[in-house]
Amino acid sequence: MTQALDVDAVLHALRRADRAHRRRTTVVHVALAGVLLVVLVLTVTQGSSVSVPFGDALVAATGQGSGLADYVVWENLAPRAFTAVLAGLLLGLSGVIFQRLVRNVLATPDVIGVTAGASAGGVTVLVLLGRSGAPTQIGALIGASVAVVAIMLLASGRSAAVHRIVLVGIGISACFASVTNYVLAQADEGGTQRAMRWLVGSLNGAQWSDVRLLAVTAGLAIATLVVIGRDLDALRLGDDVAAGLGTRVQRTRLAVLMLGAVMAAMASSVVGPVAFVALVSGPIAARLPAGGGLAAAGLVGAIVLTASDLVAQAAPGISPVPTGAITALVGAPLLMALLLRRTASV
Amino acid sequence: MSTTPRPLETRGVAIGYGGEPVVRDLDLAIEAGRITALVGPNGCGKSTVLRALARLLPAAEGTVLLDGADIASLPSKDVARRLGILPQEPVAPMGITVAELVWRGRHPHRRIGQRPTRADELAIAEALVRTGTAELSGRAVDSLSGGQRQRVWIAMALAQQTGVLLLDEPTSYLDVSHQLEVLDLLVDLRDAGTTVVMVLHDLGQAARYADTVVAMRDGRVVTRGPVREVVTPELLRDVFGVVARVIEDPDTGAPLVLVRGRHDRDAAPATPHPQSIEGAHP
Repeated sequence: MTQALDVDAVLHALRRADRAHRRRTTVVHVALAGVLLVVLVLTVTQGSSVSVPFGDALVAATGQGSGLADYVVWENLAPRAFTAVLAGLLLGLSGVIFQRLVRNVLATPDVIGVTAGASAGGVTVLVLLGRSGAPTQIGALIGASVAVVAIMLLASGRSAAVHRIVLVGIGISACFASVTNYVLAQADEGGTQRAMRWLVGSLNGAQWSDVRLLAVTAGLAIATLVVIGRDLDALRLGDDVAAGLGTRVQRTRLAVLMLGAVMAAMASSVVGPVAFVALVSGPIAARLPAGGGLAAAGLVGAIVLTASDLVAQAAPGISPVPTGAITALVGAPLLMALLLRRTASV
Repeated sequence: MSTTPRPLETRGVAIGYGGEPVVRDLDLAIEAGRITALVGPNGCGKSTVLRALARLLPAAEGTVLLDGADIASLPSKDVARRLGILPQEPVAPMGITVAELVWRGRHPHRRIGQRPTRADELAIAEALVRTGTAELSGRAVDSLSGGQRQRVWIAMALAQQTGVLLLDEPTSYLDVSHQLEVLDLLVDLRDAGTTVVMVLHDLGQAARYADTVVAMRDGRVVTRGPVREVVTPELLRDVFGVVARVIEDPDTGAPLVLVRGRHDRDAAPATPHPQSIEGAHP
């Protein structure tokens, strides 16, 4: 009798706490979306050295502009901004799901070799075949897939697979870096320059076709995350607990690795292997008031990349520089801070 | 939940990690609504047996039966709705709250995209109340004491609402009051009808809290049966290789194990009586 009453009271307390938590989460998501919108508006209005009146730029950003405004905003700034948003979203999501899967803040696609694989693949196509655009993207995807398969094969052990993924990944990353360097050494001067620009990560020349590609990728990736998200949550409790909860551990792990690799590879294939966005998004989102889930990490990724691109294009004194130089400038100290803080979490 | 007399059975099971089997010829029948303790020295295979019972390890030979059906042929979620497993020292993700962790226990009951049902919410509330962790529900798991943390993990397993609960060394690394906290809770669960199987390295605890003891050595079951029949000086000698006296606990009547070290031997008549050497029921 008293226990029944207790259960009722606890039930109500849980619901109250849950409502409060959901309110906080909504506020955080709305705030992040607001920041992203501000950065977007700044990009399409201020992102070019050609000055377009604010109002004209906004009109042009919806595709209704004409003349110079249409050319500058609709043909250049808007696709560039949306590419940054989507690539940032994909990088943020891929980073946080890797970090959660491996339970290590360092286990992002750029640290464990997936991005290095994409770089090697992309550069190989860019330099040896002399093709940019879609062939480079396919090369990057192939490189990233090779990296994931290699990680899975080499790290598949009976136990402690989780730590092995990081160690094996770092080794694979080094292997791919040597491939990239070898290819660069073979390239002529023009090829080296093109490859270096792509390697640092740059949104120059982003087109609406890139936006479409990334939007489709993001849509499919988010749908997949909805399906496997709860299994990933279970995996965070460790393989045995997850298996005890009815999760198929190996299958889920492979699915998450492949999904993260595809997201990182697609983003890198368009914007180049931009450094640190995947690494910092999860930990930044985790420090927000509602404790940051996947959506928050994705939004943070989008903000980081779009804002970095804005700075790279339009900041007085330093611009124009490749976007990846700015993300590295911001990301490297953050990485140090995360490494030094014992409570680094995702 | 299901109260078939033998919710878990093994028939001719051998278990290994690829090479030679670590455990062989395992024929066990776990009784419903009782606490069964798997005991034995380090490396005897007791944790391996627990993992095989939970399907964390496949049986290399023979079959494990859950409610009479081959556990290897059952869907994962189906197994998870009937059998819960708490590994040794599980680690919660940083920052996760008690409520969030206990919610994970509903995983096998929920479908993709489905909103929490009232049954889910009730299961969570009940699990928190039964483990005395309701007042901790908003706290981060990593900020709790060892005993509280273990109770929270058990709450997660309870939210799973399984008839069978398997635990690997649920009291290790806890200080004595927290050990009692956890063991008392398991007795409560048993009294409410749950079948509990746990690995314990402390035979004294097994003697006090278990109904049935399965003693293993070198990958084989040496003896098994009701605690009072099985926990004898011979068992301690044959399984653990130690000299001990077993007396009746003056308060509870449970077997009380007094192990004797090299320096104690002159002091007490601890030589095992050679009769009753196989206390086991076949």
